[in-house]
Amino acid sequence: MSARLQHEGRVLGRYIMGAEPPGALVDRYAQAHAHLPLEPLAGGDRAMIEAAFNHVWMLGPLDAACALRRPHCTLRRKVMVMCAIVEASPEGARLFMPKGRAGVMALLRTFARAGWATACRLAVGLPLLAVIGRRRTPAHAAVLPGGAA
Amino acid sequence: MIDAIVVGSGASAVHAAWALLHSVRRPTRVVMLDAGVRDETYAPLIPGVTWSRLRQTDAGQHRYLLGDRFEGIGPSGTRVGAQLTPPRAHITHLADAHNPANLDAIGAIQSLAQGGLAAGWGAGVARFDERDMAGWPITPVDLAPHYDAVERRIGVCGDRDDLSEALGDHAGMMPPLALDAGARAILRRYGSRRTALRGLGLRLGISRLAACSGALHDDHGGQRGPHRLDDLDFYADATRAVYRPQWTLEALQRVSGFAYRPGVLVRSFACEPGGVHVVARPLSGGPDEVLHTRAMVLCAGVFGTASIVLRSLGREGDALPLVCNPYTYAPCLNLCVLGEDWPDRRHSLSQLTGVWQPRAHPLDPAYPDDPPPLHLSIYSYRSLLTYKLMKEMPLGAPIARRLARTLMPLLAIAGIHHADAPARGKRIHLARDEGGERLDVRYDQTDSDRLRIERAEQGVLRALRRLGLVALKRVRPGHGASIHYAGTLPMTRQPGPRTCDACGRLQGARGVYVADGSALPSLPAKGLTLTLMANADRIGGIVAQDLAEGGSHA
Repeated sequence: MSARLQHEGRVLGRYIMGAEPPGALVDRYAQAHAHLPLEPLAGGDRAMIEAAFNHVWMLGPLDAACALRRPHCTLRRKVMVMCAIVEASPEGARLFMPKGRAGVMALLRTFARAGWATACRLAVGLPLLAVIGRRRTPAHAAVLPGGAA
Repeated sequence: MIDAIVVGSGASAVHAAWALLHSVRRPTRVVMLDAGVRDETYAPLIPGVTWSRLRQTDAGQHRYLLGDRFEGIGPSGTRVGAQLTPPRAHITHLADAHNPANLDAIGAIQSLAQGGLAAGWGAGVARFDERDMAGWPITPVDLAPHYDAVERRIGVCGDRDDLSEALGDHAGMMPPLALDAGARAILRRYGSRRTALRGLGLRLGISRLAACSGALHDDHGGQRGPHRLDDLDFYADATRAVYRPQWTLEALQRVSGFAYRPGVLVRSFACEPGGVHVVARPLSGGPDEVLHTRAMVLCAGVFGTASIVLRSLGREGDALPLVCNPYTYAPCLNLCVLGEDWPDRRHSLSQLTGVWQPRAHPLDPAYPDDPPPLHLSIYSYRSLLTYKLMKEMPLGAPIARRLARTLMPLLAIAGIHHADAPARGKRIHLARDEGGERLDVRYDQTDSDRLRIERAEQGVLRALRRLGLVALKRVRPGHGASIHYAGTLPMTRQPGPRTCDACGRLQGARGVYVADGSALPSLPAKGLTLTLMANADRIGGIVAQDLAEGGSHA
């Protein structure tokens, strides 16, 4: 199992669950790469992945910016695959299952929090995306923690 | 010699075979040839508990929710068949490899599964009425006894409510399945604004479903239902409460004179004195097999049947008409359900059905004088994974997750079907080039189709807003996303090339009958599966009668 993918899985697991993910979920994330198109093709894509997993603080802002501007980029696909993997486990399911009831106040609170959090992340993420997403990293030059698979 | 070969095992095939074997002068030997692809992997893994319990307890859930090859995660964006979960994904497995077709133009799918496309259908039922069958060589009166027979066989549940005016009644209708909190809230709002909403042309009621709210016993010792309200309809058929053609196939296998031959794909036929010889190719490879029969009933699905007929008659390149219900879905915020509790026990199928009658636009010559009614199905979004919603949100994952969890109880999906009729730009043909043989589809909507659809959708969304359902967007996943296809070898009053007569007899091919959707000349905005089954039941009886009278048709 590639150390690079294990590292990515752990980072994404912490990002989504807010805690260290179980090893089985990290292994499953690595396995998913054998079946799904999750390797970056463009230089900008590759640079974003390098930045997000080498400088973990960038992951949240870059994910928010990509969700808005590049919803089909590789970083976003990797985030969503880990979301699916976390959700399809008893440990993660409770984080994703719908809330029992939605009142007007709860809805307004959720919208307000989501709006504020998104604005903060975009304030950092959009400039980052503009700089990193434009890079033309040659395919062979990407070095990620733990080396290639 | 075999008396009759039935090709396929979908909704039409099993009821044609059933009628053949249960007619007064029944033939002695009926063989069903079928590719018969099945899910052997995931179904046994799904525990018999409710969706929410399973999510909290089953450590192996990733296998049937995501798939062993992560096929449940799939590509980004909307795609036809996205609702097929890994336990249902076998429905389209191998189809493109064995029956190559360029269906991307309309986003259509085909199936080689046991049970065909109906192995994963939404189970909505509606009879066609006089208007729906305008221009057909048969009438609702011809189909009525067959609707009755099929409805008793498959089990239908529903209520006698405002839908009865538009949809009539069903034989042996069981009480409806319990509604979930979202649908109950919508229906309550409809009740309180009924006069105004009816004035806008909307009738709303509980969806009529081919599902058993109580136990249903068949003539061969089998029992189905009652539905457990476990919210697993997209994944499992634990009590077989929801009708699938496989249940009828199992009952058929207990009838003497019936033989089921899975693992073969019918390629072609040739008519000969005294019958038909049928060429079948094993899916596992090996030489083609030739079988001789007195009659052949084609139920291979619209695309499969078209390929077989064009290939057999040597008419590659000839264009056949095609009709399919244009389909749009609209995720809506259901504001009526704010503050309500969601009980765990529910089903995942369509909760409510609406019939909306658009108004005519007398000053607009492009718009029909008497526009056809439009049908919509309302679903809740509960037993599909939340990340699929998150993917569609322009938000970072943690924020999208929190928002999706809050919005899910408020989310209702309105699926809108439109009627369709043959037109010059809607065609399929069998093309042959160096890459081999391929079915090509062309489906160009006319300007008047587009205008009718746009106006109707605007009208229905206005009516839904009055109901407290606010559409977030409209999604048109492709004309073929309805998975309702028909009309390639239509029944006509006047005989013509590549058509059938009112009895499903294929013109110019003695002994060959068409009993699937290919024979329906047009499609109203309703689900077609109940009519497919009723028409196949009718044609099965006709084949039995023709055989008993000493042969097949001239």
